[in-house]
Amino acid sequence: LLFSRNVGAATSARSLTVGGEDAMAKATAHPNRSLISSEDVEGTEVYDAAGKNIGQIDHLMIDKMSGRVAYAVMSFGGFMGLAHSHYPVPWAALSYDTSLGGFRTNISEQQLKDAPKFSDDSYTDRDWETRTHEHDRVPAHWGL
Amino acid sequence: LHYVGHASGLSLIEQGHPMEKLDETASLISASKVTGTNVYNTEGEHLGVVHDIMLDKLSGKIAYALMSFGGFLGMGERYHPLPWAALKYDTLQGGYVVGIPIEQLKGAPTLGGDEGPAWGDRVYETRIHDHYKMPPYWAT
Repeated sequence: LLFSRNVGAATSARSLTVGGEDAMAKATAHPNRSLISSEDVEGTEVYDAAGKNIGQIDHLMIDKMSGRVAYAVMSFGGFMGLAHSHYPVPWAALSYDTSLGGFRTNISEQQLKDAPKFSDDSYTDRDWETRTHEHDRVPAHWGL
Repeated sequence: LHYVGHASGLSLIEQGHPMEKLDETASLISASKVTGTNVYNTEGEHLGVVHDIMLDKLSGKIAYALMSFGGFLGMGERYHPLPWAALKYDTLQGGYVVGIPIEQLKGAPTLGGDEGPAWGDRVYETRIHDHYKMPPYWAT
C-alpha cells in the first residue's frame, strides 16, 4: 500500500483513488501533511462552518511575484441558488480539515451572494481585491 | 471544467463566465497553467517541465516545484523537488529558467512516482534547501 505511513483514516479513501488512477499523483498526494499538491487541491471538497458540503475547489490562482496562492476558485453545484457557478475565494478563508478530508470555510451562502461582482479585470484590480478580502473578512494576500 | 448536477439554471451565460476561462493575468496565474510549463537552464537548453507544485497549506505559499527532467539527466521517472525561489519566469522563452548546474541537479534529492516523501519533515526539507543553498520557504 502506497504511503500508508502518511495517510489518515479520513483521507485514505480519496488517496487510494488517486493512487489507483495515476502513478504520478502518488508522490504528491499527501493531504494530511503541511504541504499539499496543487493537483490534489483541485477537486477537493469544501465544507461550511457546520460541516455541510457546499462545493469544491475548481482551480487556484497564484500571485506570480510572491509565489503565494491568492484565490481558490470554487465551483458550486447550483443548489445554493447562487447567480454564478464559480466564485473566487481568498485562500486565507479556507483551512484544511483532516477529519473532513477537505477544506472548511466560514464564508456563508449570503456572503457569496453579496460578493463583489467579478469581471475580466478583477484580478488586476486592487480595489476589487481589497473589497473581496474585506467582504470575506480575511487579510489581503499581498499584505502577508 | 465540469458542472455538478443537471440544474437547468446553468445557462450559456454561466458557461461564458470569465472566471473559468481566465487562467492568467499580469499578476496572477492558475496553478494548472504552472504545471506543464517548460523549464530551461541559463544557456536556454530545455531541461524538462514542472510536474506539480507543492503548497504550504497554512501560508498558501508555493514551497516546491516538482520537476520532471525526464531523459535529460538520464534519470527516468524521478522528480526533483526544487525550492520555488529557484525558478524565474522568462517571458521570452515562455517558461521557467533555473540557474542550477546539471551536476548539482544530478546529486539532488529526488523522489519516484511511488514514493511518499516526508513533506512537512523539516529534516528532509532542510536537506533539499541545503543542497540548492537556498533559504527554506518557512523562513522567508
